[in-house]
Amino acid sequence: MLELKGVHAGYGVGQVLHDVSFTVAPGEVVALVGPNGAGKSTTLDVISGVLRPSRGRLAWEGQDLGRMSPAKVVTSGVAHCPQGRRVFPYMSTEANLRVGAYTRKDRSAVKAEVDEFLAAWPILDRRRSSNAGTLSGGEQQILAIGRSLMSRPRLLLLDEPSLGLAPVLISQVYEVLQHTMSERPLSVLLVEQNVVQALTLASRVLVLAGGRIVFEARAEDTDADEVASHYFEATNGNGTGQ
Amino acid sequence: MSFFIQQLINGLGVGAQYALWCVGYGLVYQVLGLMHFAHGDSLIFSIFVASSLMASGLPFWLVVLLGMLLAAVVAIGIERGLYRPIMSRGLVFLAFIAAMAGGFVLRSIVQVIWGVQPRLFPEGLLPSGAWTIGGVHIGILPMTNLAIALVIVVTFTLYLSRTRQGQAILAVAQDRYACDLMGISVNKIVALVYGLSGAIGFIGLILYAVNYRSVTIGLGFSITMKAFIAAIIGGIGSIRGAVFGGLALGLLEAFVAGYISTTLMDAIVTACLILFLLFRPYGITGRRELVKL
Repeated sequence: MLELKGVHAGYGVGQVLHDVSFTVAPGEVVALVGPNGAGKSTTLDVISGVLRPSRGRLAWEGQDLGRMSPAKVVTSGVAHCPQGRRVFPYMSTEANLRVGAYTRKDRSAVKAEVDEFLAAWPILDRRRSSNAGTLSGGEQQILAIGRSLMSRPRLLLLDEPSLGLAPVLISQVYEVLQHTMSERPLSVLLVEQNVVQALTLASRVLVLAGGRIVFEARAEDTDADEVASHYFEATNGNGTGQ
Repeated sequence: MSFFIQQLINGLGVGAQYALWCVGYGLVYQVLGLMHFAHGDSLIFSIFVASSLMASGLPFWLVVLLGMLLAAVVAIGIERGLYRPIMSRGLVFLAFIAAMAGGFVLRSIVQVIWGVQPRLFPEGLLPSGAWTIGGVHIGILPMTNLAIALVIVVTFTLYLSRTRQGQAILAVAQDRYACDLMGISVNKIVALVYGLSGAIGFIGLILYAVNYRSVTIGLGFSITMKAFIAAIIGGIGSIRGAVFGGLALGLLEAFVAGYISTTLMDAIVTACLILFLLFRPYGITGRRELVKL
């Protein structure tokens, strides 16, 4: 269980998040949507320990995330797959996956899991020795997710996996997620611009605008139009406030 | 012909030292994007301490080990105390100036403690003499230099490509934010990089001391410059580049000194540096950027 309570955070003097509170239950997929600059990536940075909250509480399985280093957060079972994929461009596909397992000590199990992941995704297996920088956008995204999964997280923070990808690739990326969730317990906090796509996987949706949660609903009680109307309303109402 | 071969061997022997100076220097650049201009002076400080340890009667192998350790600690100290506070404010260019200043301070400390006299090293620390094959004298010491440098470079390359820690170093060089998210403690890896650059550079300097049997304060800046020139010639930021660059620089110096003029050696070498900067700034082995966004 992830729980944010009254979290405020920002970079330098600028406040990005104002009093953000929400939860992600075990096994749940929660979509976090909203316009550019709403604070979605900042929310993920605060959870993964890259950015310290200025106020508020973050709890994960009873531990206080707000005080943990990024490395501690990873070992506690939270992985963050960043926006823009951020694969290591001069390392091979395989080496990227191994770096994802950096915090683990069970080297032989890691090796088996790397092979297993590549076997499940032939599109990557063909490129296993290629530098990740030479992969296509879709391949890099699948690799980035695979790399995050290598730490065996129970919560995956996934930032804009469909950004800049063709529709056929987007569905492949989502397949990776669905496949993983069918195999092991995993909660996902999914940041998306693509609301329709997010609603196919998420059980709950949160709209973040201007650094505040302005709307929250269960996926079956809402639809893309309603969600979009909330964040446009918020955008027009008080600006996005970077 | 025999003169040519002798110059070739001497050039490789000296180039091996340059390569070791350059490996650490290039690694710091690759991982942190910083010109480590206090590199040479931090090594000089360590070798002066080492020379005093030698004089106190410690065995050579122990002096080498302690010297490597000290060089690593000094390099880490420079990073923590000088580079990091400046780099963390995003002032990369100022960090470069601070590096020069740090080098100057170290040099002055050395001068206060040991004075300006060169420190002497005894003869026979490594096998010397020469083999004579078909009238050509092949120096044993330059060959030993080359062999030691190659063993270190190969070991280091394997360490980077095969170990979890080595891979983390390469990852930090490519994307520090992503490393945070992978649970890599970036600050620890950075310290490790500086430590390695000091330790490996110190081996290069010990070879120099064994070859020339004296070390002066002024050598510090010269080490930094050799490492810098070798890095540019070979291709900055890769181990292969450091080795190629170091050996190429050693050969260039040996042949210029042997066939043209020892007086002009530094001028010609520096002119080559300028040519590389103008026409091939990524060096002999370097690559142009390849990043897909």
